[in-house]
Amino acid sequence: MVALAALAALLVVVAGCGGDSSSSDSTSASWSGPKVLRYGVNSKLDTYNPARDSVNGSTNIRYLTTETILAKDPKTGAYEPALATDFGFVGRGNMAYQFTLRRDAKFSDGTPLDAAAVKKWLEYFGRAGGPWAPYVPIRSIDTPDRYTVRINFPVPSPNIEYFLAGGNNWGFVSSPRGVDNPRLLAENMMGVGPYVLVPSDSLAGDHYTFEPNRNYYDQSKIKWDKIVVKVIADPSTTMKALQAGELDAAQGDYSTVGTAERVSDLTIHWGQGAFDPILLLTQHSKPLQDVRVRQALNYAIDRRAITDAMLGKYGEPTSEWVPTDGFDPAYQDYYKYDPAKARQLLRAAGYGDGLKLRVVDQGYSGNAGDRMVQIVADYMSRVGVDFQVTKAATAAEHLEKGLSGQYDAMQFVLGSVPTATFLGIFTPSFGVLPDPELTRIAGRASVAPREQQSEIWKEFSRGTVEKASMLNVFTTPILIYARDEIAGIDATPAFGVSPALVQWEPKS
Amino acid sequence: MGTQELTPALGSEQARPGAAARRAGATLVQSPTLRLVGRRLASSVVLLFIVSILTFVLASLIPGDPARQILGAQGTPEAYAALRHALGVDRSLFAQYWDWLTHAVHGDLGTSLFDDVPVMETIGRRLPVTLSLTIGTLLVSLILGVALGVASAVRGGAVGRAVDAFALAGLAFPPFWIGALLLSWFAVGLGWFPTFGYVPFAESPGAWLRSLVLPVTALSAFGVSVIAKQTREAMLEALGSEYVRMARASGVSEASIVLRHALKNAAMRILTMVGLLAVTLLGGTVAVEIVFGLPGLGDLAVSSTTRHDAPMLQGIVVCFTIVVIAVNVLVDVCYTLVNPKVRVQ
Repeated sequence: MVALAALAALLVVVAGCGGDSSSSDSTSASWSGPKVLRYGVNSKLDTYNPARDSVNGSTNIRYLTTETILAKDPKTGAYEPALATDFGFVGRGNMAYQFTLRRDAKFSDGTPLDAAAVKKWLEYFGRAGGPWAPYVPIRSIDTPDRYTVRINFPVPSPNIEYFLAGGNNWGFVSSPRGVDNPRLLAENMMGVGPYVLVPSDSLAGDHYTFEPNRNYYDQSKIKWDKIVVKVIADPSTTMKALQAGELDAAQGDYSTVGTAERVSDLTIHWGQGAFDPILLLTQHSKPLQDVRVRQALNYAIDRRAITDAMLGKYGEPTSEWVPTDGFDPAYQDYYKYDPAKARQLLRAAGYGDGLKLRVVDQGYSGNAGDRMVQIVADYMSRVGVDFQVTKAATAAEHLEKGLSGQYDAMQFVLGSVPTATFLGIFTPSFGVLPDPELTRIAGRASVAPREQQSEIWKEFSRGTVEKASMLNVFTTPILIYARDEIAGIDATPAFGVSPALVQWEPKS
Repeated sequence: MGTQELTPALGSEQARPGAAARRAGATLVQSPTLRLVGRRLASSVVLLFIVSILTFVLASLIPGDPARQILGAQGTPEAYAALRHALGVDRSLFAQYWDWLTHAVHGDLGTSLFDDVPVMETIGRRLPVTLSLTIGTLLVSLILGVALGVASAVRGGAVGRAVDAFALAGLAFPPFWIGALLLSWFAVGLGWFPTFGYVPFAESPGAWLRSLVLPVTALSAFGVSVIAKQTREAMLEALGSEYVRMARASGVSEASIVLRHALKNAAMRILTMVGLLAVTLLGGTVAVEIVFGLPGLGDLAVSSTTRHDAPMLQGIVVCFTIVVIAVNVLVDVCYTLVNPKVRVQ
């Protein structure tokens, strides 16, 4: 008993120790002292170098230090001036794009922003060996004057604005000194932004500290004295940190949203369309080359029941994929749950006695990965389809197996992005069944003027649904938990998958 | 008389200044403890070599490769081949290993394939977290485990049963579960400790201690249980032996019997457990690091493995192996200090 009492006393003493250690970071709710934003994310940057990094939930912190060439309005989705003041396609057919840069911007290392720096960055991005290089094929880049850049493409590039606004990291223009010595890009963020990274107070993969950039051209965009971003992989720890007042905002998760709803001074900001986990039905599969089989799979699952069970009110069932520019709400509920019809279609296709399909899923993707596929597999078994599921432990294993041609279907999580960004999945190397009619529609959209593109992409989406190219299940929400004292939060996938952190500000 | 005997010796030392050093060196070489340490360190080099080869081979068996991981879904076959070449992973496994080894023996563990940061730098920033966790847990486990074990053996009855129950609970509940409970009670409920993060000692010793209390407590439950149980059994065995009966009959005080005689005898078994616990903890911190958001090496080891970041993984394994070797040497030295038989052998 004495030992226990001593231990308890020790705990109290230790608890009292170092209470002031994080005082500079603990001022939050009232913003009476320094305005410090403490934000929790569930994933880390692989590297500070945008040209080598993946895109995930922490990508939005890049906007703090690295303004993009164009901006995207989180509410309307319209592209707006950022580092570029004037911009647009040149000529016909979306084969060239030109923009003019502002003249008063400097990189964090003091180098002035100009056309030569942007050209250097875009050319480096294409050869840096990162994941997104193939997305923007560039024929040449001209710099007619010190602040004008013209990009010439070898093929129509209708969604270049998406990339220049930060999509897949292309638009995060970084200093030419970093391009000359990529080691510098690996050690720091070297863009033009309202904040600068403090490397001495950051640990890659664990926490990132940002302070105001006093050289930034628009000081009114600096809303915080300091921003500390903490990577916390466990959603329940994130929730506890919010409850304890150690975070002011954090990325949410379906597993903790129920708890978040019960915390009084916390607001759940959410919007549809973060991810679209789907099953890509591949051309490598003989049974799936028959459209009746693909349609049968689509009729076999009760999307509403699956969505309610997995996401509650925060998810939406859908038979259609959800790109930002081509989603047709009329087709969202195209395949209603009808197991009898599924069995009938399978019989007609010659698979009345059963069908075995090999499926590989992203076992590391939580609800959107293996858990969803296992539920789908259960529905399939009720109509005589045996899903033999392989759970990939890593992204590399998933791709290795999915692209091997050995599997009938491949579960994949698509970000909510423009249609053209994911046209690659219809190519032979990826394996989704190509279709001449879809190819024709995509060709028309790629050369169409911007104002006509959305309607053509909707036609494309309807085609994928009618031909059952994929097996869509639900869309997932973007969830942000934030204290009521933070304003400006729009939980929309304005930049691919990330909400616009840079627009948040303390309520006065 | 004494002066007469010493003077010639002193005179000869002054005449041959290196003699004393040589004699001291000879004494050191003859020291069984130092010989043991020397033997252990020599065999450690072989162990390091074997472990590094095994890691390389086992990591190569994991499906996928770093180029596929970096390029993602839409990388073209040409880009994939080019990146494999740039990363050097298109060479034979032997060539890759030889390249790594020749740099490693010069103290260069390479750079991460993903963020281009030197492996030594990344490990250097994360090692203090893992060492703080591991050493803290060992200390708590040792002190509390021995105290509970001794109390249980000496007092018996209800105390003994309580220690048994505690040991069972400590073994049954995983550290991450205990950690989650501690977070709810002491961080969220009482607000005594932070819910996540690590504060370096140099920044604030008090905050460093606070950041470690809950994770160390979560990890220590297992260690305290194991050591308490082993201590109790070893103590009961010692207390029931002939020499303790003789000591009691000779009027030696109970405190002296317990602390000077029985506990010293039980120390061998306790030291063995501490050594094993230290090795187990290096790998066992991963879950606790995730629950408490601590930037340690465990989490880094997992992510490096899944991403096929071979240089980083090799660096972490080498680091862990060196720590394991150091712990084993330390335990061996402690053996020789507490047990004269080991010294003689």
